[in-house]
Amino acid sequence: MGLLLSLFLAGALEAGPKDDPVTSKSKATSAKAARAREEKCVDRWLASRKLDPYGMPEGTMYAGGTPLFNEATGRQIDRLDYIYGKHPEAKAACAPARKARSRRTPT
Amino acid sequence: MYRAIRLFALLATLGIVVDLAGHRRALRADDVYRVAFVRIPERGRRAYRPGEVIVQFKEAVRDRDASDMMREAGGRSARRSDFGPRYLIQLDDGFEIADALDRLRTMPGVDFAEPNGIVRAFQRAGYFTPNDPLYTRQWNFRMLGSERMWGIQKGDPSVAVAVLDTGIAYEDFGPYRKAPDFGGTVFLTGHDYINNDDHANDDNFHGTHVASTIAEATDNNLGVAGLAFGCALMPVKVLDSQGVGSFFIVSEGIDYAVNFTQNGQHPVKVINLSLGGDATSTSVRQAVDRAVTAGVTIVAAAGNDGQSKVSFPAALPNVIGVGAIESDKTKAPYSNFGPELSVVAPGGNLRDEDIGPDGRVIRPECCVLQQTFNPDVAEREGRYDDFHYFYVTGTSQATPHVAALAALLYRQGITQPAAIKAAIESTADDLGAPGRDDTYGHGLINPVTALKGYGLNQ
Repeated sequence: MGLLLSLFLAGALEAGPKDDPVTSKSKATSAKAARAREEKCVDRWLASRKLDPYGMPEGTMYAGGTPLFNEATGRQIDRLDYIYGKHPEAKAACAPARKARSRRTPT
Repeated sequence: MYRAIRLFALLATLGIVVDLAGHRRALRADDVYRVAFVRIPERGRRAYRPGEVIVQFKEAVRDRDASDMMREAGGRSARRSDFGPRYLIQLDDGFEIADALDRLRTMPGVDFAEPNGIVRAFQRAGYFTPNDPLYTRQWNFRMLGSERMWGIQKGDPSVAVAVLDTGIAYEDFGPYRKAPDFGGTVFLTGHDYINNDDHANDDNFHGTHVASTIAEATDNNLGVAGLAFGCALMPVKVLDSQGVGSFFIVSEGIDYAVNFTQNGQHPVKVINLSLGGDATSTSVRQAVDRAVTAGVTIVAAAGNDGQSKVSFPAALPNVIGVGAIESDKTKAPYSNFGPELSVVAPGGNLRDEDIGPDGRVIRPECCVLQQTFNPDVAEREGRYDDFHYFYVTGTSQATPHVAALAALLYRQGITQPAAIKAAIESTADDLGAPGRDDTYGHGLINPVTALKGYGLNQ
């Protein structure tokens, strides 16, 4: 009985709410879904104003093909952050509570 | 000041390059890593070490008299040979070698006097090793077998590469200055489609860096090398100071380069487009078609989104779309990929661990090193003369490697863009999955095989 209780406790600790794979997965899935919804909203907002995916007029070309990657630093800017920086009204429409992010491209 | 410049030149000549990489500076909202700084007081390859003279006195001349004579000839200091009354004189500021030699040769106690010539190692047959002191940091060139490649072909100004970009630091004009390491580079008359004039000067940094990879002055005892350094460059400014342009302007730039004539010839054989966009454009596509029909090869960057979508116009079938690899020959994470990718070339990948605690780049293999001006100074002070060597990473940096190879293949006698593309693709070193794949295209360009296998000088 004591052994069984120990095993149960160990299992319960391992499967605590912090590392629950089911919970983590569902959190990630919902974050992904929220991001997808936000992207869709922003893309609709851009299209209605005849802007390209970076918030510039359609037909714009960029050094390196994108304004989101800084070739001098190797740093990539999040597309939505970039757009919100140029068009705060897009953020107000699609993600009023969003925080900015910047990252290196995952290796 | 002059003394400081001379000292700097001397250090560069000796391969001792002062590294001022300690600055981590802002490029607009982000950082640039400055790694080395060399200014050149003279352009071109020197035959003699500046400010130095060798003199041998007759045996009877006393050391004190020899010192007086050397001082009279303009000597500041002198080093005596261990094997006789022979001296290496360092001339004082303002004294010319020719004047010092004239004076010494008229002195009765002087056996002979001569300039201190520069001695170089003999080149290996079939190879060419440039003396540019920072060439050792150009891992990207050595990865491509640059020294063997130059032994086959170095290029010629009859073949020009038009760089459609933010302009090039190619002339002294208004606030713009010619980059010091473009000393021997030939430039054709370009055009600025942003400001509508014939002075396609760079006000960003990007175009100068890209152009330097293609044809920076090489074997001039300064800085780094260019891959097709014998070829000419044409600056065509189609991107503004923020690196932004438009379909219309890019198509205009392509047509300008293709239609440019000099002495009845069309020297532009290659157009480098380290740029792109998300959408497609009929005007750009038709300009590309006109260029290819006219015999001009278009090389374009696959883009830096790290996505499975090759940027436009790199995705066009008659364009050579270029992706980037790191120094270990793996795909750079930012490099776009897809079925339209033609080949890959070195573009590097700057990681946090490549930057030391003082902000210096500690792994030269992180990026492509070329000259350009400091964009911070340009933006803050409107000065375009603060030239340094910068590490930069991206498909923009990979693309000019391929444009340079295309130019060298034209010089080898290939005349058709389709043949140039086929030569580059068919000789590439396969990477990734066997055969062509969407990650690496046909693989890493192999200039030596391409140049040996096609055209002249096989």
